[in-house]
Order: sequence, then C-alpha cells, then structure tokens
Amino acid sequence: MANNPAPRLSALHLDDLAIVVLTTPSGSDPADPHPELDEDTRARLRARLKLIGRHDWPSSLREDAQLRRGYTLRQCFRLVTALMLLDAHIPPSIAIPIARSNEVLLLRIIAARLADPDAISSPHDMLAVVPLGQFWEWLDPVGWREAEPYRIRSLARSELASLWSQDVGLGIAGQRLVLDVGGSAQTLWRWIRARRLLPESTVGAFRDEVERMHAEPEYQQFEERSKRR
Amino acid sequence: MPTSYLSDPLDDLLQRTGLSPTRVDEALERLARDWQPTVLKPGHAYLQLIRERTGINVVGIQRRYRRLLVEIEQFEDKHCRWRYHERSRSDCVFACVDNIPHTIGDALPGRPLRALIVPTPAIGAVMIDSLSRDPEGWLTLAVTPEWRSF
Repeated sequence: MANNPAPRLSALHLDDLAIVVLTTPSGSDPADPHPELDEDTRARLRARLKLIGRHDWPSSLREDAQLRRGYTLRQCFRLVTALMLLDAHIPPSIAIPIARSNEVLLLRIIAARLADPDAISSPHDMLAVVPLGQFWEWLDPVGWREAEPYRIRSLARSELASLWSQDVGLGIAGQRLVLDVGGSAQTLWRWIRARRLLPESTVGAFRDEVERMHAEPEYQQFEERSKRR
Repeated sequence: MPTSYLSDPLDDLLQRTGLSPTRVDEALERLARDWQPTVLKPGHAYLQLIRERTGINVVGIQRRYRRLLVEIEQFEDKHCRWRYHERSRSDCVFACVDNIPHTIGDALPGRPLRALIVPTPAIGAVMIDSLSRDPEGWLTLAVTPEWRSF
C-alpha cells in the first residue's frame, strides 16, 4: 500500500470541490476553475463538510487510515452524492444513510457516465430517483424497514414519464427527487482535469474498481447510526 | 521579529503590482488571528490586483514557517498552459505542456529555466534540478528559486 498509494485529492481543494459541484449545472464545464468566494462563505461550507464528516462520510480514519493524505476519486464521488442530497434540503442524518446504502448503485451510474467525460447529455443517461416522503419510521418501524425507504431507483432520462408508474417499482406514494449524479461527476472530473489535481489514469482505475464490484447488491441497508456526533 | 522569506518570482510579481511582502504578510496574519487557514485564495483583492497589473494568474499565496509560497496556474482558453507551485523551500515545481525532444530535455538539469521557456523574467531565472515526463504529455520540472528575506 505504501509503495503504490492511490492518488488522492488534497484536502486543500475540498471546499473548491464543494463549490464547483454545488454551483455548476450537471454535465457542463465549470465556469471558473478557481471559484472566487470570500472567507466567510468558505468557512460556512467547511462547517457543512465537517458535519458530513461526523457521519463518517465519505470515510473515516478507522475505515481508511490514509484519509489524512486526501480523498481518493471514489471518496470524492461519495461526497458528491451527499452534497447533492444536502442541496435538496435533506438533513445529513437522512442524506448520509441514503447515500451510504445506495453507494454501489450511485457509483455504477457515475462510472457509466465517466466512460466519456466530455459527452453531452443523452436520453440514455441513467438518473437517480430518490422517493421521499415515506419516512414513517416512528409509526411503524417494522413495516417501514421492509418498505426499504432509503432505496434509490435508477431511470433513463427518456423514461422520466414513468416516474410514478408501477412497472419500474415506483408505484409507492410520496414525492420524487431526481438527481443527475452522473452529470455532476462529469463536471467534477472536468474540473479536476482542468486543474490537473489528479493524474488522468485515476478515472480508468475508478471504473475498473466499480467493474470489480459487479457482484455486490445495489442496495445494502445501512443499519447503525453513526457514533460520533 | 524573526526573518521571513519569499522567493524571487513572487517578489518580482509583488514589485510589479506595487505591493510589498510585508502587506501580504499582514493580510495572512489577520487570517491567522481569525483562526482561518493562512492562505490567500482566489477572490482575494491582492490576487486580483496582481492579475490586473501583471496578467499572471496567482491562485494562492500561503505562509508556512514564515515563508511565503506562491502558486501560479496560467490559463489560456480554459486550458492550463503552465503552472508554478512552491510547496516548501526545497520542493518547487514548474510544469508545462510537453513538446520538447528528449535530446534537449535531458540537457536541462543544472541550467536556468530560461533555457527552456520564459514565463516571466524572474521565473525564468530559477534553476532546474530534475525533470520527469507524465504519460499524459506534461513535462514536470523540479526547480529551485532564489530566496530572499524581508
């Protein structure tokens, strides 16, 4: 491990990463590779990132002893999914379990889009659909858990008309949140590439890593609540 | 007061902008007093001033162990042309797009950077220690600038 460490994005660029992800429309080029914000806004953003970090996301020192050296590309994309959910006003205590239980599905969507980072959006792009409004945990914990409330579905862009249809398993009640995680990942990678923060080969290694996870189920319910609060 | 240091290229940039290293140091001192990282990020008035007066895109000035370290990334139509990063006293890097033949490239270590390229006159004077080529077509040079105290 020490001989061949995976390249990591230094924590120095973490708030820039968050700004780029949150302010750039998914799938477009970042307007400015060096976002200009005042110190106060950056401080508030860092506080938000620390809040995510308290939930052991994108990783913790126990899971990944090298975390102090920076974030790997996979961890960056983990962070992107959490930031997009937070951007939709989902509190971290719900957003992180959603991102964590559906990590494999989200990474697959991202890896498929990163096959060509410069591609424009097409009708075949997969989008992530988060069904909201079914958090009736306090009323019926057992039934709630069996309904898999945190499960994300994926849907092609051209099939958005069937967002409420029973056929694709979306017959449940509640509102839907549609996230273009693939597009955001493209944006992020274009920013990293423009500033040469990671070597070009990283994206290939990331796709291989996702390829190796082909046997893992898309949804793994995340039971325990994070301990560090 | 203990001595502080800055490199020749940064000194040159500050002089052409009309700033003094002491003023940059005081700005960093103010950040440190507010418990914020001692680095001037893009958007800071001084960095905008440097870009207006000299055309050089400075993306960060940080202070480590009383040493001002500059990071420059020069962009042309959204593509990075060259970059110059000072990470510490002995770890400074100049990188640019590589189209230099190996016969010329291998003779570069030990000579000043102006033998290859002159980004600004002061950066052209730094000495090349070693060079490496990325598989992505970039030439990365480890360089040593002159340091001066203020």
